[in-house]
Amino acid sequence: MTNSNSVSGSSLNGHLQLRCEARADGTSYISRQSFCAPIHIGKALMVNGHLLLNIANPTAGFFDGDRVTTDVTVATGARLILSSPAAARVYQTRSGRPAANCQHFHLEEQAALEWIPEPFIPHAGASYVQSTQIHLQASSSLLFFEWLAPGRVAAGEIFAYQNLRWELDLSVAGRLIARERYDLRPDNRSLEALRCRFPAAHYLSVYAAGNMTRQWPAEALDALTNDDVILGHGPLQGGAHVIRALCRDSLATRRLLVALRQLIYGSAGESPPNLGRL
Amino acid sequence: MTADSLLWLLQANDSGYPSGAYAHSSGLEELVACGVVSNAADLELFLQRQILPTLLTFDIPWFARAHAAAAAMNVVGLLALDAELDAWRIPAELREASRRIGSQRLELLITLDASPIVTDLHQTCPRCHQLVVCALELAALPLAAAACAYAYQAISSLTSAALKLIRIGQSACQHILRRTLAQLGLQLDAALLLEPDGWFNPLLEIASLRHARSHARLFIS
Repeated sequence: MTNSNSVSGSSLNGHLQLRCEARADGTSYISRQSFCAPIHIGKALMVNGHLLLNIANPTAGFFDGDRVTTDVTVATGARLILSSPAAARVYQTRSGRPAANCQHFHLEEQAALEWIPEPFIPHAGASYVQSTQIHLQASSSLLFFEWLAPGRVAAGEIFAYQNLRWELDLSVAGRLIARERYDLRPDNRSLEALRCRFPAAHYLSVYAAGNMTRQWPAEALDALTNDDVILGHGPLQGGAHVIRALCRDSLATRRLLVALRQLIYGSAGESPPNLGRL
Repeated sequence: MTADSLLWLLQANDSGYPSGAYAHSSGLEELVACGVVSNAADLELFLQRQILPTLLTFDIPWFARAHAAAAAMNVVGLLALDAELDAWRIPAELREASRRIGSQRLELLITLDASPIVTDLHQTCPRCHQLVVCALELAALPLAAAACAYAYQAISSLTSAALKLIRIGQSACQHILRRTLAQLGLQLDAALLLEPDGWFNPLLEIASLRHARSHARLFIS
């Protein structure tokens, strides 16, 4: 759907609505789906008992004025992995208006969700607002990755975006356990801590809950800090855990991502489901 | 409350007031350990570029809300602000440090200056966050003065910790503190009017998360 208020008259107002349920034999399936540009989804695959669904952006990224609303429900006992085949990009704003991405995730009892997109790459001059709400039940399981790149590093664009607004609320059984609100702007000091250790740092944030934290691999996570990565982790309220990491570059971040999945899934007694790209 | 709120402010902000804050570095110890803060210049940059923005965008506006709730004897409001602080303070060590210091201040407050709202809060939530207890302690003061006192506690606890963590003298620390407070003073009134918002500081979060896992450390946080 196009948005007639945009500067170009062609910005998009898209959505993704998904409901994943479990059949009587435990097999997960998509019981309801609706999407429109700039979102497209591929065919779902079963991987290690999880339903894997790739979310693609056929327009190659967000342009100013684009709006996407995502609403995902994982019903009781269902197991869903949402991933993306390529980096999410947001391009320079021409009108000054941001692109906006509003994400809601609802997990019912015994439901499991892994959210593992490729990196988010804000181009020079980009303006973007992302709002995420995650609602878990006490028995839900979550592995939620966010990977924020500094920009198109190979093109010399390092923290050259205009403004990123980041909002996230995570609640368990109705109790808010994590709240993030950030404005990232190169023209003030909001990137100071990000640049302090590595000049072109990639930022990785992970929230884990439920089965993914029953046997938290604390010692092994501690050992992941090295010359290219500084990582911290710890408990939140409600049995959830958080991991934060700064990485020297994209290669270090990808290595870390692979290691984290192996450790966290391994501690939960599973092999990390193969995404076909990691 | 003593008839002279200025005297009470001096007592509650005195370094001899047993809040336990001297035992916390709020992540600074780990930043020193990993080489981010290693000398006086680093400390000043850290305070002015990482701590002040956090105070001005989140803590001071949040303090203003708590101060208003305390002045209105609104215990329910104070408890709601206190509960939400847990969600904003992602590293467990920072949450726990804030509650430890707050609980010690609240224990002292109930013996020094009990009032119905202090008693009510103590009975309902004896382990309140430091910010909420400070707002209650200083509710009789004008908001700007009370917020200054809270911000002073936050900054001076870091300069005090720095004395034990890096090679820096007391005079140098006081100069850094003075310049940082001057920066704070320029922006405090505007901050009191802001909606509370977060400040992106992944390095301090990581430092605090790592400090909690450290085998050898001088400070509790």
